[in-house]
Amino acid sequence: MATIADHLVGGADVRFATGDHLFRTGDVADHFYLIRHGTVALDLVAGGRPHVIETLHDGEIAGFSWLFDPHRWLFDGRAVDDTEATMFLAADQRLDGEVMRHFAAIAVSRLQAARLQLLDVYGSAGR
Amino acid sequence: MAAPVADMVPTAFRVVDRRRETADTWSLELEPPLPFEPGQFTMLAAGGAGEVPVSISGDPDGDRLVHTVRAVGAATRAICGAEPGRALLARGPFGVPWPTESIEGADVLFVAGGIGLAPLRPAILRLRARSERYGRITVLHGARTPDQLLYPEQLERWSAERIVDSAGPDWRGRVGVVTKLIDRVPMDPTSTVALLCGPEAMMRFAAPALEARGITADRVYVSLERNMQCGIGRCGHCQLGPELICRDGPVFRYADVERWLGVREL
Repeated sequence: MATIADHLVGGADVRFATGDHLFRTGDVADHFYLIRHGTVALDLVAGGRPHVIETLHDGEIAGFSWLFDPHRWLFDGRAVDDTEATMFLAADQRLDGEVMRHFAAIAVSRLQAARLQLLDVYGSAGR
Repeated sequence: MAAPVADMVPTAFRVVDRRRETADTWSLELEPPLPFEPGQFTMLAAGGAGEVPVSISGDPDGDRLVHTVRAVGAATRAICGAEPGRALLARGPFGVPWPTESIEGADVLFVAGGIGLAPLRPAILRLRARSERYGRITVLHGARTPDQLLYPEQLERWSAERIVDSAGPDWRGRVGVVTKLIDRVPMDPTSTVALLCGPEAMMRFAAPALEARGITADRVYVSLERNMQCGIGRCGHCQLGPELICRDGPVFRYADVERWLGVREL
């Protein structure tokens, strides 16, 4: 089955040591990553404290902010482990139907996950 | 199986150990032991504070009756507060257990959300004790935060995949929802049976995620929860469509109850 990697153009292999940042909130988002090996945490600082809102793993895309205005990162991306990734430049990509279909599928999956998190199902009374 | 406690007459059990699992959840070890099958529950009470259904969470081949209880109301707070030496009252065991015998030969995927790991633990322990009868046994556990993951030492022993809804930066595990684990866990869908227990919303997201991996609803089992009062199918409080959860469940094949779970006021 074709993966999103089959439709991406260019790409440079990059490595991040544990604790390194792939991107930081507010910086210009003109690229994204395909994680080949490792774990990347998406951190949101709120109330002065960082919260991990999601972790991304092998085969997953880190970075959507390059797709839409204002093209700035909304979260910090931090390597939880030593991480190997391929970095793609936004300007190189052909945003054709197939690429957008893959990104939409990822976005829908994350939207559904976010909805489930919003329900805070474990916080409600249960058995 | 030895004769269970009479249906409506509670029996006194002595608390012999009490352990805090999370901020609001306690495990109580009781004696004498009570023969049960994984997935069954008792109606449990700390005298005078009301009776609640609580799944049995201990080893079905063990020598104590173990309950893991979350303190969320008067009855459960009283149970959780029972110090060693005190007596608790229990009726049961009741209910349809996990299908541990009919799934022999299959790979088994356990998916637990929050305290839903407690009703699954007896089945996990039973299958691991008889692992030669099963294929691959995989445990996935989701919780709200890292400190709410249940039975951390056993999760480690089981090589369970863990994921939490949110975490601080010191957490080195996964953050996200339990369905994300389903998407990635190695499995042969043709030979896998899934046993799910957790918040109903979680199970309703998990079942389609399993189906997307090729595990159809007839090979997914869930443990459901409703307002059980009598525990023996007499009062009707726990009715779900044509089913009484206490009598016909709490374990159901997902294909048999899926249609009822989305019905309002049911």
